[in-house]
Amino acid sequence: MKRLQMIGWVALLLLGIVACKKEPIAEWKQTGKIKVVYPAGIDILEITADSLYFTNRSTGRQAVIKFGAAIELENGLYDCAFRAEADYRSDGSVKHGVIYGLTNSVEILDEAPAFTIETHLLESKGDFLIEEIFFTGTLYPTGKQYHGDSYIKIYNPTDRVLYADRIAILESKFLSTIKWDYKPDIRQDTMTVHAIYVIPGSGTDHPVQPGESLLICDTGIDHRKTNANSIDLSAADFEWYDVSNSPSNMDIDSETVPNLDKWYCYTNSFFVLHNRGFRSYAIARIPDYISKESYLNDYFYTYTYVMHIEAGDFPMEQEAYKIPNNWIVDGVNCSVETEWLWNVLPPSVDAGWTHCGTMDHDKTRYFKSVRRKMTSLDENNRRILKDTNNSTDDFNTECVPSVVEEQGAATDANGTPATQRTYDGVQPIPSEEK
Amino acid sequence: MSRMKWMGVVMWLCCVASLGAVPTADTVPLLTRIGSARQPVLHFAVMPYENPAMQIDRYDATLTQLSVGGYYAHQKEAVQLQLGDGAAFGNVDAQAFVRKERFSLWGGAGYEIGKKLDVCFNETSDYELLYPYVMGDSVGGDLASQTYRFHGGFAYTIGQVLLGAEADFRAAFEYRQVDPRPLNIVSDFTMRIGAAMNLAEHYMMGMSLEAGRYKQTNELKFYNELGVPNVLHFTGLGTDYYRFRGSKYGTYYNGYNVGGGFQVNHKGKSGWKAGLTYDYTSVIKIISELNELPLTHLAVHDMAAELAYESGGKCFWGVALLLDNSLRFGTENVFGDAANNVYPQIASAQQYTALQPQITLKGLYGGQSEGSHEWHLNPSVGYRAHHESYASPARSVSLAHVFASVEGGWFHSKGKWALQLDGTAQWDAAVGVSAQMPDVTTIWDTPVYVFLKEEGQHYATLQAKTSVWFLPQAKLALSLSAVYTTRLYMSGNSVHTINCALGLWF
Repeated sequence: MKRLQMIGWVALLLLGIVACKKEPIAEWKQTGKIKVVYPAGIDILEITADSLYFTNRSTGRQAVIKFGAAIELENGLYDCAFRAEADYRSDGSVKHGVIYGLTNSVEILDEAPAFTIETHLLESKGDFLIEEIFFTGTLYPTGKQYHGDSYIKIYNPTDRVLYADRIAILESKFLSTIKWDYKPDIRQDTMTVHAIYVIPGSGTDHPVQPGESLLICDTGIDHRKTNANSIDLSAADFEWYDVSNSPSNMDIDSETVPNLDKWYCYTNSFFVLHNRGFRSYAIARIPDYISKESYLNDYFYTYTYVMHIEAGDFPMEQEAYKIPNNWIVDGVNCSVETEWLWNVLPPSVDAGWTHCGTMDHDKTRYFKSVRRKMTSLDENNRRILKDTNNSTDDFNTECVPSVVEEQGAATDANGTPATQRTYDGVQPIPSEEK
Repeated sequence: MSRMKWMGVVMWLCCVASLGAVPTADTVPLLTRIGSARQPVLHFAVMPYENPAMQIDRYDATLTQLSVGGYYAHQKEAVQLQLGDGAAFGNVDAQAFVRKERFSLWGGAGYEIGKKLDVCFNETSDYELLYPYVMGDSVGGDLASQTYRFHGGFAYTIGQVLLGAEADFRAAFEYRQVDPRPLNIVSDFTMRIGAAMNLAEHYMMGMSLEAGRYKQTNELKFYNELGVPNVLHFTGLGTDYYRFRGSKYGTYYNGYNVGGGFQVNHKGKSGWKAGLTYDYTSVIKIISELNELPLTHLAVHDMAAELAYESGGKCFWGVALLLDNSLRFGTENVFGDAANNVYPQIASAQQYTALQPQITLKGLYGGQSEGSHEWHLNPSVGYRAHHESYASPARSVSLAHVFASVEGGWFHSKGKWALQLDGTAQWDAAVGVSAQMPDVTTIWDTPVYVFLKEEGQHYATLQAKTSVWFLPQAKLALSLSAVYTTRLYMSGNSVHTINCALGLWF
């Protein structure tokens, strides 16, 4: 009898173990003709809170539909995102995370919508984040546009020291406001760039402490001497400097700020960030085995498209450099509401876009930057910045730039000074911490 | 205005004026002809005259008028922001009607120059024709405007059949010389033909057909280097075509209209009049800078019916029933992904609907003696509704009014002088106002709420009009006329308009 009891208990235990051990679910899921493909390389064990997020491109209206529910939308062109909570197995352990995917330009008409959404896991790469981009610049007191005081800040979000050596600052060649049918279409794997500036170093020359930032600017001088509304960038960490071939458009080489290593830039004069914010920006960690020469030799490509204009169709051929997406540690799409046509970076790098101003030539954009949101402070009082690979959600838009806040510099052409310091452009820093 | 355009207007004015100089057997004194042309009974039930063939005996005698004038309008608060809160215009005008035994000729030409004041949320001309599909921004401003009008027609008798044709042409351009800077050029041409035949001893029955073309280029520019306001392509009741907001400034409208009518008119001084007309207008709005993207389509169906009985003579009277309706359907086209600057059209949706029915019952009673003295009263009552709706997101606005008015006039001529006095009083009582609008409003909803606030209440309209004629010669008269109109809203808002004109009659 005891033996039978023992066998029973063992059988029950085995059954329990088998029942508790989740098996991977299918690699994709479908509702109607909409197919969601889960990320490759991980075993999805369970999906919860899965929904489709539709944005009507014609009207701007949004609809959230639980995955599997009936899709009743008016005819139109949509962007469709999928987001779900997931339990997954990776590297032998079970984890919990969020999977996300986006498919742009889906036509939903009378028949059932049919398209596929490739998803990816939203997880930190454990490397630098773009903390802030100040691309709009400032204005002279006369109201004229001033150049040279734009900057990018990158942040160490980890709890270890990161080395900035061989981190490249990239600007996309493509604009979010012009879209041609580029061939070959290499967007899913690479970023087409026209400006590559790399932080020099042998690998450990430029340590960045956890919670610290690097300030990388256009021209590392005290701009207030030429424009009272500008800022002092003479203490920046790096600047991008160009030897100009145009005598009337010479760059200034700061004596106090080291230069980035210029690998390539499209311009013969000097490089400035697109001050209406139509281009995308990324930082990439260049592998050690890639030298400047080998990069310039191996990552050059030619693409074609047909330009359709009123005068007719014109076949075009262009040349550019490309950066593999797996080198990219963070990327941000920028655009303006009224001109946006597409995201230059794919959803796996940035599924959204951020902005300063809402339309082309928006005069309200000056003196403003995009700044990554802070979710909280950790036990060491370091900022934890939001990173969901969706800059629409991750960034505060049209913020007073952090350097402007620090220096109490002008926030408009009238010279109105900044009076408040914030963590992320929105959340104020308590006065005792400043 | 260019020299060529001026020459064109002047030449046409001369042509029109010379019509009246055609030798006629007219021996009727000029003041009698003037008095006869403005007889209330001639302007009481006018739908039959939309058939040009029936114009042949509308007026008894040849008459030509040249005038120079102007008007000024001021609204304390704008009622319809897209039309502005006032206007100041000067104009020259020529009208002629030549009556012969077997045919009649008529023609006209006019030129108007001035400003529409504080036009907002609309940078397109001819708002009342093209709404809701206009381009606009929140800045607006005064709009300089020039309009040329030409029309001409004839009616001819062949046995028992009357034939007629007429054509209207309007050219306009409107612009502003500070940001935002619209430059709108309008051309509008309509051709109408008609035929009529004797129905019985005292009646004529006729049919008319019309067709026309409409075109407007509507372009906007900004010279400010630092920034510009957001420009929207409105789609009705505060909505706009979100995808093409921003800087799509180059548009044009391409349209046509076709229509027809059926008319019955009496011969002589008394009898029944009836008319039935239908007109269809189609206008496509195109964004030219996006490879001729056809953004919207507007279809307007105008229908009207009139039945009247008139009795002429020394004691004249009449009664008329007029039914009128305008149905307006707006369709938005939906476009696919814009790769290669080509926007493939993937669908269309009828989103906007407007309905404006009106019914009017009016009467006329008056008396006259030998063409030198006349008086009349013209009362009317009616019902008017205005319903607009937008399908998705659902929005709607409905207004209804009942109205009653009375118009009275007195005309007297003596020797070389003639005097006309007219007065009108109308009361519009709001009998229904409702709206379905979103909880969260934006600046673009402002015109809807302003319109609702002002038009959705009771208001009174008063008009006083006077004209004086003086004959320095037997066949030449000078005139001076002034019209003052005011509309007083219960809210305290008011609209004032004054027109003045100096005329030459022969």
